[in-house]
Amino acid sequence: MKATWKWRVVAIVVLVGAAWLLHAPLFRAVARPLIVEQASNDFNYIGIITGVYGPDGDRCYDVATTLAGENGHCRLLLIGAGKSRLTEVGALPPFGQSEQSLLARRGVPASAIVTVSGNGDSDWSVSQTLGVWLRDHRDARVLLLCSAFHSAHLRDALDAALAPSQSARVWIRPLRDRRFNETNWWQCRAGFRQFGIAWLIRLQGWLGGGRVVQPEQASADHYERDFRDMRRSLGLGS
Amino acid sequence: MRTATNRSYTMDTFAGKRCGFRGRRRCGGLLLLAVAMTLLWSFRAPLLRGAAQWLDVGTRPQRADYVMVLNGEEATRPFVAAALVKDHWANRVLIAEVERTPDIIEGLRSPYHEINRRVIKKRAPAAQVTILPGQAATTYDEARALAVFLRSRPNARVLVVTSDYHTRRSRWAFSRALGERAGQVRFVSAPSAQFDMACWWLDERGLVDVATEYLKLAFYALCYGYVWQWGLACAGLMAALTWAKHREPTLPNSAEVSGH
Repeated sequence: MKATWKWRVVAIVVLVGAAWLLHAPLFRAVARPLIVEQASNDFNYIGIITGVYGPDGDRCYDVATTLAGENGHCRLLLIGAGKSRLTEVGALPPFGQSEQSLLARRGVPASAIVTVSGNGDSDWSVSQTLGVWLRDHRDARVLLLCSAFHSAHLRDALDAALAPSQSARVWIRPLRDRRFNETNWWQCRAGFRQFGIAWLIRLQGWLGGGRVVQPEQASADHYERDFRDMRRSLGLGS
Repeated sequence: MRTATNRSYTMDTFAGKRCGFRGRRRCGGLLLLAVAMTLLWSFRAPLLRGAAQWLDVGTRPQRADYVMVLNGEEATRPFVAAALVKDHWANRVLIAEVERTPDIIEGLRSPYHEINRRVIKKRAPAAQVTILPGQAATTYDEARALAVFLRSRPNARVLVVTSDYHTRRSRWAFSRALGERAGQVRFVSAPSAQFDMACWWLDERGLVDVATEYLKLAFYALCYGYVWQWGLACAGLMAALTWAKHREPTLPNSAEVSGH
């Protein structure tokens, strides 16, 4: 083995060793840009995003109920996709129903809950839906609860979709998943998955994509018809 | 004295030639890289579209004994399964039971298999739905659940319904789990409804679904792949590295130049 190759091998071994020793602070550092935490007590609505980036095991209903209890004048704002094929066929209850029953179980009266529905549940769609609602509710100041690894992207989407005066009335409270957080996400599969997805979406946001407003879901009949038409057009059987 | 001068002159010349050659090679490499990047950027739309299409290996349905719906994307897959039942491709439906995650245990959401079952019962009431036990957490777990089910039904044919971008990985996982029985299974694609496959990279959901599908494919190859495939890949890499090393031109060393 030549001397240069020997040095290269030594350098690689040293680098791998250093990376192994320092992997925890490195992983913590790469997770930090995904999280935005904005403390505020000046809110009168607590927003819960339902759907794909919603309360997937992150106890948002518990946190929302506690916050609402601490601030007696606060109301809860449920934001999500209104119509879907699953609610249309009765496979899932209509938007807001199960969320309201989860909150009712925690002692929140129905009168304290406001539902706002839009077309989709992506960060961009949620921001647009919230923007429309904020335009009609000029005194509303919202503390939005969301999954921690999506908080920075949600903040970007809010800043892009809302007018500056509206954006300044929305704060974000990131919620850590019960299985992992930014200090140990690499130790479980769910953490790895969420971290990867969050970075993908963040990169896409930086590259200018992601601002596609999700279309309203086609009805069940329409979808089945489209499926049969597509199969026929591709010659995959009638 | 003269010898020393000659020697130093000759070494400098070759050192200069070596630097010039390396510099030109580096410039050439950078130019090639720039051209490649420009081409990739210019043709990104057809390339990215092609990347998504490559994932879809769905085929035409054939009359079968069962339709199996894979869990996830419940706004599309069970509707396709119901359509297949309604069109008489099969009349019995299989769904693998999913693992009980914290949000399911706390009643924050219904398990996927339950939502799929509800959709099929609503859209195709005549369908007989069977839940395969096994607490599946991955596609591979679902494939294993089917393998267990097929042990006592050696001639049963199954149409597996999953999202279009998920068919390639599913086919791979099922062929691994089913072994010789993989031929009894065909895959039917459920078109994505959350995003347009023609411009998936512009949509948040499209990017997540398609890009992570490639990562999952790599993960599956790593975890469930054949050893010979990895051996072949390593051998190919070693061969490429050796070829690249031998391609470097051998310049005369200083001892040869000075005549020693």
